[in-house]
Amino acid sequence: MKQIAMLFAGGVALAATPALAACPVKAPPGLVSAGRLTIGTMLTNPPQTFVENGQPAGFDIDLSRAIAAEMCLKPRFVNVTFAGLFPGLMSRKFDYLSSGLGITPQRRETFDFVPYFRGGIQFVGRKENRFFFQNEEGLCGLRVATIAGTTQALAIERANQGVCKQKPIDLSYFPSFNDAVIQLTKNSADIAFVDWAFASYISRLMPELAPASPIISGRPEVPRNLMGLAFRKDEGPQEKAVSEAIQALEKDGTYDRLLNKWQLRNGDVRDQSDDKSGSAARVGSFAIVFDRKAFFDTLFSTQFFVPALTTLGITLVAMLIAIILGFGGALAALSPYKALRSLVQIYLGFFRGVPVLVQIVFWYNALPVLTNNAINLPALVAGTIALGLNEGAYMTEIIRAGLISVDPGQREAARALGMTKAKAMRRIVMPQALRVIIPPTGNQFIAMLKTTSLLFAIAVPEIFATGTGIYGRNFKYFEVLAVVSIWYLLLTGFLILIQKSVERRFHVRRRPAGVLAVEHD
Amino acid sequence: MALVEIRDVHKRFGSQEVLKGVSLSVEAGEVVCLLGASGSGKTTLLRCINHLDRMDRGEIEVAGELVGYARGKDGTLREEADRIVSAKRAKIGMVFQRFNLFAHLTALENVTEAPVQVLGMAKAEAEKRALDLLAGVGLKERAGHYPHQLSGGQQQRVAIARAVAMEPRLMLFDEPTSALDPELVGEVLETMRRLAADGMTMILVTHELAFARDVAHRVIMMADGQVVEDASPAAFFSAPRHPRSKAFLARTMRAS
Repeated sequence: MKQIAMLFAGGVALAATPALAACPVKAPPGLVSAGRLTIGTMLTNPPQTFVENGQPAGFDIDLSRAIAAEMCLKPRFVNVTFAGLFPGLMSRKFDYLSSGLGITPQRRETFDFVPYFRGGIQFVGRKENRFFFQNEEGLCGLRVATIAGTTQALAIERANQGVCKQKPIDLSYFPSFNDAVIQLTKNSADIAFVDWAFASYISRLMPELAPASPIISGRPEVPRNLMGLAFRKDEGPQEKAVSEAIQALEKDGTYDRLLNKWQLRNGDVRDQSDDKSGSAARVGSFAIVFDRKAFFDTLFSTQFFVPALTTLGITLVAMLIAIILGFGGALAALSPYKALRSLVQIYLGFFRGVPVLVQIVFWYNALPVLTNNAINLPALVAGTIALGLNEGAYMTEIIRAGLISVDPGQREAARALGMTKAKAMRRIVMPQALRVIIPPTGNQFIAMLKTTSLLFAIAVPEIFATGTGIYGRNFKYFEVLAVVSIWYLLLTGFLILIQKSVERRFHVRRRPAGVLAVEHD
Repeated sequence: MALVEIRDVHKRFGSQEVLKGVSLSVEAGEVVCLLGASGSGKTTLLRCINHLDRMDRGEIEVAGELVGYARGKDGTLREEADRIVSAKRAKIGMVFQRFNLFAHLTALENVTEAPVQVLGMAKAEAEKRALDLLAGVGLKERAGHYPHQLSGGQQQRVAIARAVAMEPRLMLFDEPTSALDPELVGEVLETMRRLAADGMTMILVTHELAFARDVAHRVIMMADGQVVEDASPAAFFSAPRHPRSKAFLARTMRAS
């Protein structure tokens, strides 16, 4: 991340090197990195923040470059995921955030905003469906994709508690607007719920998609919300300097030029007069404190019950797949047939060599594209299969090691007594191999339970994804992540208990010499 | 007709030819000791008899049937299916140098496993017979012990009981006392002696010359993958004819 950020900073240095005396706005003190304006952004959100030709690009990026130039600073863009934006700002990794962030009362409790763009949301659908809605209430019963912790998600959840109570909207959360819109093309969602700027951009780019609503507000009481550059509350001078820079850019026509360049005229921040957020009183002040109430409310709320069961279920099914694959793989690896052995080697090489997160996203997003939508698995199924297939490679090795740990004389004695190969395997070799196989398998179970958290990337509602959804809205990162950790500890503790009792049942006991032995019944 | 007929058996491991045309017949009730230096092919011959090792040429019949092979219409041999070979093996007992008791089963379970699993005997009956057999080898009170809780000599006696439980028509012993401490050899030899006295047909690979002299009906001397001498123990030990027999006896006598 750091390297990428440095690269980006180098590429935009040219625009920001006029003599110090000519600076229209004085650079504020206390910058995160001296001589630089460090901006946190999520570069997966065109046309405002994205990557083009290896460089950050978009309306927000151009605006921040211009702001930096006003202060004779070099802009430095740090690309983070949405979930990393506000925590990064809090921990002084950036001077401010520019990432198409809507200004909400809740966010304003913790952060300051300088408005620069008129937000609002717009639905996108497949052109063939000809959907067109005036507001989110028309979405009842449809499958809607959006991103976690955003104003868009809040609006949907409000609808589900109100007009859509009978026929709720099936909402799934994705890491980026891109991911949300991909769900339309592979027919995993009917509507994507995105920023209007992204909606118009993507509809120009992909002819099979079309806007499915006018630009509407995420909140009924205000026609359109404003987007703002986000600042820490304790750093007034930076906010003031950036504010002055934006006013200068509005005056000299740069702001208009950028709106036109990105075809975003509908976002002109000066066109609206009914938003009160610019002059609203500041509520509270920023301080890092442990919010005990938020912690206990989250801990004792029921919202983690179903995700915990989901996590446990995924773990069990994925391990079942892995163990079945592992037995097959181990027997094939030890078979006299070279073709089978080679096949196992290819399987092991591939699944141990490709990161499991890549495999997960492949099964969910790439497979439908690859098969022309013939295989289009629900996220839960795709994720579980991906984890199971990946784990199968490790189980193959564990079971193979177990089988070859059994003295060949055991099998020979069984064969000499007239047992068939299959019976010798089942009655004599396997029970002894299990003593070697069971302890590491227990560990794999526990590792798998934790690995399921990766499925948040494809919006499977497991424990971690649920946590990101909650802190994305209330900004109680520490409190929510503490609760998430407690849930994982509970589940892993539960698995460890089961592991111990299974090991007792199979008489697994390590002797000092490391030899496996049986205990007396 | 002899119980075991071995005709012109050849076997090579890679470039090494370990059996170079061995022929031998063993009558029912006979106790035959295979002697010879290590690498002479004794153990391989034994393992070919119950088809734990494949042979390259020749044939072996036990009680008039080929083990591991079937004769085709044109007279050539082809390997039989696992199920059929296993059924034939069940009638040939084998005792290994390193006992190979099933480590996850008690002494009793070791003895009942094959009768129940292979012969389909009822568990209660198998246990009753197993306890008798364990009593016969002096280990009734050790029935509940696991192999690692038994001495080497006790393990080998359980292994003999395990083989006898299948009521084999022939028993093969592959250096049954070589892995034992000297003070434990006697109890195992005593068990084998009683088995011989009961009329069991036995083929042994052994270095126990005293046992060969006292118990065996015939002594077979093997060298370089061939049988070089086939004699009565009295004749073999008092007047060996083949130079390899003489050298072998001179060497082993000196060693012991």
